Amino acid sequence: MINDKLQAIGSKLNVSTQDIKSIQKTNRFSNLKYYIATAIIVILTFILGFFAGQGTCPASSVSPGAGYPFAGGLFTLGASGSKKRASKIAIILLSAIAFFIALKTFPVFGQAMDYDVYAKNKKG
Amino acid sequence: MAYQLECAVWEFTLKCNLRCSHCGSSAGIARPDELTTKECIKLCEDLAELRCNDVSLMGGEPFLRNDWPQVAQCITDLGMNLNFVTNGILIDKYIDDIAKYNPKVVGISLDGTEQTHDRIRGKSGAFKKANNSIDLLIDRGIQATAITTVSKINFKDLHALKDVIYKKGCNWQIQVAMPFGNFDKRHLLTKEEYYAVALFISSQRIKTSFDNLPVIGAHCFGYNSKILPGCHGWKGCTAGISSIGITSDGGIVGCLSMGNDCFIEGNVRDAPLKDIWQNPDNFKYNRQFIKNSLGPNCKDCKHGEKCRGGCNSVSYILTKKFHNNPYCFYTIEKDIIKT
Repeated sequence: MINDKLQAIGSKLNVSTQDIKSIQKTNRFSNLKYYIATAIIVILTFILGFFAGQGTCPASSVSPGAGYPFAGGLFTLGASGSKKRASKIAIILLSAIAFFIALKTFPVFGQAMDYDVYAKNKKG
Repeated sequence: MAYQLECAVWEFTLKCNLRCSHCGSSAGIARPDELTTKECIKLCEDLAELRCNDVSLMGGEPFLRNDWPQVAQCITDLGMNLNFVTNGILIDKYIDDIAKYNPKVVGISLDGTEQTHDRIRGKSGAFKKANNSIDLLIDRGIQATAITTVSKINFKDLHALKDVIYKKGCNWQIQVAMPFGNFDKRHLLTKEEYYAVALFISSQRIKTSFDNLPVIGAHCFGYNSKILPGCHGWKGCTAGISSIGITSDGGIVGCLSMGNDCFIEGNVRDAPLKDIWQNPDNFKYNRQFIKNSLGPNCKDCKHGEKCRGGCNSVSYILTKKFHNNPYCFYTIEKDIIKT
């Protein structure tokens, strides 16, 4: 169901009810995609950390600016070096924490650009 | 904290061959003491020293300065991306030279259908020139962005303008006219009209392929919508954080759209750009932002700390306060649409 006020606003620029439905659907779908993608990344980094990690972190694969998936990997890689039960719990807890950090910080391509004239691709 | 300069938007001259009704700079006559060519070259070197990525030459009309090729050459020689923002009147004259300097993008103002554009620009034939300029640039393989500044005057033209631009192969940047400089406040979009433009942008993004027409809302659009796709994650105004504006007489400001000399942090004639940029007391409104800096429109907002009250130029122009932008999707949805 579409809010009447939203319809009234859209009609100012001939944005139809169908268009608004489509916008809302796209928004819901993009949110869903984001949650699913995040969950898959968490699971994959968990598996990677659990099976590949020996308590060390390969520095070359770490991107400090990229935030989440690598951070998730770090947590799991670091924690999986130990065989202790407590560390396995830590892996799960830290992965969950990483998941929520990702929810808060993962950059989503937005409608607004930064200050400047828009260009599709960076040259430099 | 060290800040990395990413982009400089440079009012290369205030001289202009048009007198647009929404011009925030009230451009027309050059400033009395604009930077010399030598000073411009030095400034380019200073920008490169700060590892600035993008330098956008705008105006006034940047192609009215005879030394633009030397400065353009210097920018590219120093490894920075060169951009232009122009009204398109002189593109046919300089297209060969422009192509030679291989700009990353050329922004051309295109404000509506022929009648509306010429009315806003105050010159008959301006639309044809701008339209032709986009074609010339595309033909030469230069990326072009049509920039539409929306007010009540051209609000209803967006659909017709889309038909003009569609499949040209250029980008379409849509931004909102704000009441400073020449712009008459009576033509400012209401919040509802502003939101209607956002709905228009979103619907066009869904309906048209991004390859045929990439439609982009400028930095004045946005902030944490529950309805519009992809409008999350605005991290606050970049003025003085990763971008600067440069006035044609060497003044350094966080953003040229602030339209007020009291925000000039220094002048490259008095101090090297690096010193101005790295001075911890400069750009305070952004660099020393704390939650309490949020204005009354934003202080209770759950997104306030992250979005920092939106675009500061819009915020200041409309409310005389920073971090207080009333043109915000989140508040419009909450207070007007009541989602």
